[in-house]
Amino acid sequence: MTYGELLSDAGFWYDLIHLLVLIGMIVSAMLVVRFKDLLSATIALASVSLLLSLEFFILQAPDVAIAEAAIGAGLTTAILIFAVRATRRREQ
Amino acid sequence: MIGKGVKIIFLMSLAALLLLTVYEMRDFGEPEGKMYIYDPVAGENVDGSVERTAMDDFFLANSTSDETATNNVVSAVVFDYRGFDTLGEATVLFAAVTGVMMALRGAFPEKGHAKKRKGGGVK
Amino acid sequence: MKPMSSVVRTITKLLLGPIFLFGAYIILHGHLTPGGGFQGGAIIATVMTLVLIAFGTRVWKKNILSFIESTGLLAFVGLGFLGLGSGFFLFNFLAGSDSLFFGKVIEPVTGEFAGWPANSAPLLSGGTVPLLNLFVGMEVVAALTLIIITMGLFAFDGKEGE
Repeated sequence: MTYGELLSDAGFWYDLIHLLVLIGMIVSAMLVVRFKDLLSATIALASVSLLLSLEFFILQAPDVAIAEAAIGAGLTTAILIFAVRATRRREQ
Repeated sequence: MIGKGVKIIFLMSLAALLLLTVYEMRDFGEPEGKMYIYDPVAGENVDGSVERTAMDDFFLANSTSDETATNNVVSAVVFDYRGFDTLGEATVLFAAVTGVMMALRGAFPEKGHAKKRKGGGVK
Repeated sequence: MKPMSSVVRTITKLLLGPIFLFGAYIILHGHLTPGGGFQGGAIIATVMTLVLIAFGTRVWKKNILSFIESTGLLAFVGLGFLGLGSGFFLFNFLAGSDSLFFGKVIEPVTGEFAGWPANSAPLLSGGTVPLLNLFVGMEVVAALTLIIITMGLFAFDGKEGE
């Protein structure tokens, strides 16, 4: 049994979760651009990273998923919030 | 600036390229086509219509034996077969830290200078 | 940077130990389970960020962090040069020998790959791979923590920490 067959056995729910994660990523990425409040944009970017790490996990890459969750959702968000704190919060 | 029509055409062509890529992509986890596989028993590459390349089979066959004795094949590749790349990655991180600390140190006076200016108040 | 509210500080005190332990597990089991030095180091750096934000600590010892970072990178290069004695740069000279980190984990795979059970190997296997994991983990912990506390203290206080 190949890996693709193994995954296709998971069937409907697998496809549904996969699709929801991808749609959520696109919506969050559009929100990042749309938000005028930079703190909200940062949190939306963090949610993109979190969903991306979930997507990596679904695609059977746990190494990359751990790194993405720790760096993308944790450290990058902290650094961007520091940057927002040091400059100003509203986009002009 | 660039007109709206040009933007829309550019974005639509980009979307068409991405959709074409998705259409041409093989199934997940299933490389297609005929390639060479490494036969550990014969010790040579043989032709075969299989799902792995010769390098994949080499890693899978040798990473648990005397060569690296590592259960996690990804770790064996990252730290042993491609250890030099990992060294480069660590060096990049080191350079990044050096740059950040240099950039943020230059914006404000050093501790010794601050101490001189404030009369030794900072500890 | 001021400390945050009592709720945040209490939750941070509760979560600090388990997350740190998880990061150490990811680093030390890098040759058995998914993960490795970089991933575990990033997790431990996240704990450091949590401590910085919740408690507003300003007593970070940057010299010690710089020392850990440099030591990790130099030990990586040094272990690579040790491998030069029996082969090439970064040669895995410990695997299959009678030293502390040794061992045939499982017999070589022949024929169709069946898949191994997760975490079936002994911890003291892998030759130089766990050592390199540890060194990279040290380097990444110190590097990311340094970046975070430098930028954080710069953004909030407008000056460096000590």
